[in-house]
Amino acid sequence: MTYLVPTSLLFLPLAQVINWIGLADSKWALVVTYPTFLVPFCTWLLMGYFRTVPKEVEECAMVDGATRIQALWRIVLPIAIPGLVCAVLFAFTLSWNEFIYALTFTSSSEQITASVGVTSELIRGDIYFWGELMAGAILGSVPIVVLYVFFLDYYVSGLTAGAVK
Amino acid sequence: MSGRVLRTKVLMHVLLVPFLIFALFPFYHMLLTSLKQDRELYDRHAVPLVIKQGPTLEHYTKLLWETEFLTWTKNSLLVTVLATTASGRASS
Repeated sequence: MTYLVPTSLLFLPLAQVINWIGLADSKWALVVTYPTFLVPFCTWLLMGYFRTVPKEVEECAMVDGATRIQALWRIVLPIAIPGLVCAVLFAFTLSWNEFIYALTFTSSSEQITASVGVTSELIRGDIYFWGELMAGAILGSVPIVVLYVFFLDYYVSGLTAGAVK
Repeated sequence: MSGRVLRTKVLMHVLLVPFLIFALFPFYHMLLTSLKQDRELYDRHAVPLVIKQGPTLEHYTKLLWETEFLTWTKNSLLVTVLATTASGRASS
């Protein structure tokens, strides 16, 4: 549903819901609303990855006496860790870069996120503080760069190669 | 590696250089603008692609201490980490 309706329309009803549960102008509104697009995204990404895990691996675990839940939790999930890391990375990037929800649901200076803060407080009317804006853009991209460098080894590896003989 | 394979590889990488420049230029410009002094930044006759009058960290100190950038980043981190862990747990 969140992918059929563009975010720029969906924030209107969501703002009403946020008001109704009393989270207006609070960063907790963002913690509540970001999963509405992150959960479908992660599910969709992981669905593709879980499909690459051979069915035989699961069947082997169940032959050895594991229940279906145990097979999923102790066998399939560890195999799917590269996919999980990938999903978490993309979800982190998505919510770090999110703008419309952050702009509409929060407004006071103690509650806004970095992407909104830089663009709303460093542009006063038609005066652009270019130096500070660009410094903010540089500093704001550091966490994602660090995360990608840190997890690069994980998400390029294929763990299922050779699992089934 | 035979000479022919090596030559193809080198040629391919050379052909990729324009794309690399295209991809990295915005970051170069961002870095340059953030390090320039205001005097040069707003000079209409200055060349925008180089720093001539010396770099400065003035914009960074201003951003960090005179605005609430650190609070915003803290908010960003909190929201992102919580939302991401919640979604990761929910969908796996």
